[in-house]
Amino acid sequence: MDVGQQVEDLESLIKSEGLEGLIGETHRLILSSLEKGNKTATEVLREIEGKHYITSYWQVVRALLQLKRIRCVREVGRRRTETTTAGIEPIYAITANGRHLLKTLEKRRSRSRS
Amino acid sequence: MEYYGWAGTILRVDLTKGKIRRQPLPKDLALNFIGGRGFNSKILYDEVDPNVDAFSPENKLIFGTGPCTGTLVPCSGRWTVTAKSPSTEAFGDANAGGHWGAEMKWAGYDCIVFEGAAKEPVYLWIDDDHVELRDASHLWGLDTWETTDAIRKEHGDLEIKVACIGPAGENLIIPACVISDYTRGAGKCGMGAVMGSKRLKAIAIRGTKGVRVAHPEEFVDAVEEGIEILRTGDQWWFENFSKYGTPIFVMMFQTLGCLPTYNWREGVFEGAKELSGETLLDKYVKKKRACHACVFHCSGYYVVEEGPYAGAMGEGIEYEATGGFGSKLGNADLASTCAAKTLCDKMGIDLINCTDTVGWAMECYEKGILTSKETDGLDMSWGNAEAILEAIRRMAYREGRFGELLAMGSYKASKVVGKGAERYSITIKGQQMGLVDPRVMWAWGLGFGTSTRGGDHLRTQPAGEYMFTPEEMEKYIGTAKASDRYGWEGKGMLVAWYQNIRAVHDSLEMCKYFFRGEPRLYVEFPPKVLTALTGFKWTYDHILRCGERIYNVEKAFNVKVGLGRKDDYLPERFYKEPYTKGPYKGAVMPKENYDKALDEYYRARGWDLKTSNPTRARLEELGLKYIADELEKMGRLGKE
Repeated sequence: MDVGQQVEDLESLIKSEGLEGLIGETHRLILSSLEKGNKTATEVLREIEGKHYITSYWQVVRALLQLKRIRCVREVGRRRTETTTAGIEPIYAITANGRHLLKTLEKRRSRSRS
Repeated sequence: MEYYGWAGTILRVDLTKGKIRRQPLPKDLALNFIGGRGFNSKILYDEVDPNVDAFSPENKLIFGTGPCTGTLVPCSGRWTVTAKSPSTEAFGDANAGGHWGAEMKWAGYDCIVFEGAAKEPVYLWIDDDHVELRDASHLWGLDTWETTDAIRKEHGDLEIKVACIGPAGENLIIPACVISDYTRGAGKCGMGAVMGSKRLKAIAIRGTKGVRVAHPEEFVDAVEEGIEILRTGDQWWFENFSKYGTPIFVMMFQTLGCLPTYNWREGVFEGAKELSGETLLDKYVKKKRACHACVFHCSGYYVVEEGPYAGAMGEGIEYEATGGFGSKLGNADLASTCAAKTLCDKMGIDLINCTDTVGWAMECYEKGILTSKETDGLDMSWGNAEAILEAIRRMAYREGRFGELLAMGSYKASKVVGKGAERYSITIKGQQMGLVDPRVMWAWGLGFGTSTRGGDHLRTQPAGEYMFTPEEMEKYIGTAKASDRYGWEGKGMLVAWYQNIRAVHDSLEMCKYFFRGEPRLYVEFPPKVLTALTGFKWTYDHILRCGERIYNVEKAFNVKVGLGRKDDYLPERFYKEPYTKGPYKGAVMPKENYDKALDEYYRARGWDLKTSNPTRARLEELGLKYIADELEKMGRLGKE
C-alpha cells in the first residue's frame, strides 16, 4: 500500500524519528506550499523565503527531509537545478499524512493566535 | 593514574638543552579541559608570558591529541598545535586532520610540549617509548614531501607519520603552517613559523600501543548510534559532503551569496561553476581518501593530467583552495587552483593566509598602491594564475622585495606599504578570515569578530545559521530569530553556544563536519561516547561548560596581550561596501546592528560590554579564580 495514501500515527512517527518538538511553522509553510502543487526545495523557498525566519535553501531542504522521514512528503521525480553543486533536485509531493499534519499545524496556529 | 581514552602522558622536549621528560597527565586537566585544544590552551596560558615575542625561545609550541583520537569515534583524526602567534601577536593555534594525530596517540602521548629553541636543525623521532632528538641539517631546505620521504627512508618504515615544516616555516614567513601526511595543513596563526624559529624541522612518529576503552560494548553502541543519527538526521549533508567534500561550498555559498570574490568585494563569482565541487570531481579527482576513522571520505585525491598545470597532484583539495585561489582572486581556472594547493602543501604555507595575502596584493595592484616596481615585475592582475603561483614561490623563499612583502602576510604587509593598503587587508586581529562573506551570514560575521585566534571561521563555524530549522534553533539555542541570517537578534546567543561546543569538538579532536547540520549530534553524541570511552560520567552540561572554560582561558590570554572590544570588529568593507551585483546586490552588515549583536554576545558570555573583559563572577563559576585574580592585578577584569 502507498504509505502516502494512509494517515498514520504521526505522533509515534515523530517520536521514533527523534523529532519531538521540532515540527512547527516551517513545516506548515512548506506543506501549504506543496498543497498547491509538487515542488523542489528551490521552488518552495522562493514562495516562503522571509517568513518565520526562513532565509536559506538548506533550512527548507532539512525540513523537507524531516517531513519525508515522517512520510508527510514523498519524492515524485527530479529536476535539473542551478542551486546546488549536485545539479539536480528532488521534486516533492504532499501525502495523506502531510495533509493531516498540515491541518493539525493550522489548528495549532489558529489556537496560538486567538 | 591509569586512563582510558587519554594516553596519560605529556611529553616535554627542551630544545635548548636537548632534554626530554615525561609528565603524568593531571586528572583535573583531563576532566575540565577534555584534551587536544583544551589541554594546549591551558598549558599555553599557564606557562607562556603573553608578552614574549612569538619567535623567542620563551614561546612554547604544543601539540595535542584528544581522548577520541586514534579510536573508532567517527572523524576523530584531528590534532591541534598551539603557541603564541606571530600573525596575531596573541593566542594562536591550528588544527589538522590526517593520520598523524592517531599515530601520536598510539605512541602514548596526549601532548608534546616543545620548550626553548635548538641551535641547529633537529627533528623529534618517536617510536612508542623511544624518543630522541635527531640532527635535521640534511632535511633543512627540503619541501614537506621530500622531508617526509627522507625520514621514512632513513628509518626504513613507510608507516611512519610525519608532521613537518617546509621552506616557508624555515624562512619564518607569517603564513607558514605545519604539514602532516604530505597534505594536511595546520594552517592558522603562523604555527609553521614558530616551529621554524625553534629550528624544529619535523616530528616523526611510529605508535603501536592503541587506546584503552573503559566500556567497549557501550562505546561501539555509542559510535554506531552517532553514525546512524548523522546518516538519517542529516541525510543531505552526509550524501553530498561524502561525494564532493568541502568544494561543495563553492556552489552552496554562491547560492547563499557569500562566496568571497575579488578580495571580498562581491559575494558571487561569474566563474563559480568552473570551480565547483562537481567540476572538480568530473575533471581532477581520481579517488576519495579519508582521515583516520572518517565516515565521509571527503578528501579528493586529485591529479591534473594535461595543460599548463599537468603534474599537479595531491590530496584533500578543499574549498579554501578552489574558492581561495579561485573566486577570491578572480580566477576561474580550476587546474591552477589545484597547482597552487600542491605548491602550498610542499612549501608549508597556509591556504587561507596565502590566498588573502595574494588577494590583498591584487587589489592593491589594481588600485595602483602596488606597482610593477613593488612586485618586482609580476603582473598581479585579477585572475592571472601564473602570477599567483609565482607569488606563492617568492613568498615561501622571501625572494626579492615582493617575496619579502608577501612573507609578512597581508596585515603586516599593509602596514609597511601604507598609502591606504590597510583598507584591502581583510583581517581581524591580524588574522585572515575563512571563506564566508559575512554580509549575508551575520552569525559567521560575529564569529569571525570574536574568535580567540583572530578572523577565523572554525572557532565558531555556525553552520546552524543556514542549516537548522527555526524550530531546532528555538529548541537548542533558545530563539528561532537566530535562523534569520540577515538579522542580529539571537546571534550573540548562537555564536557563544557554537564557540563553546566547537571548543569541545576541537578538544575531542573530532572534525566539525561530523556535527554540521544535526543538532542532536551536538548534544547527544559527546557525553555518550566520552562516558563509554573514559569511564567517567560526562553530561552535556558539563561538557558545554568545559568548552566555555577553554574559550575563557584563551580570551584571558588575549586580554593580557591588550586585546578588547575594539579588536572584535570586522574590516570596514563589510559595513560600508555593498555588493554591486548578484541576488544580494546592495547587502552590507550595518555596523549598528553588529554592535547590538556584540552586546548580546558579551551578555551571553558574562563579559563586560564596554571592554569585553571576562568578569570575576563568570571566571569563578568556571573554576578559573586564579585567572580572575591575575586580570584584576593587571586592572583588566571585566565589570559585573
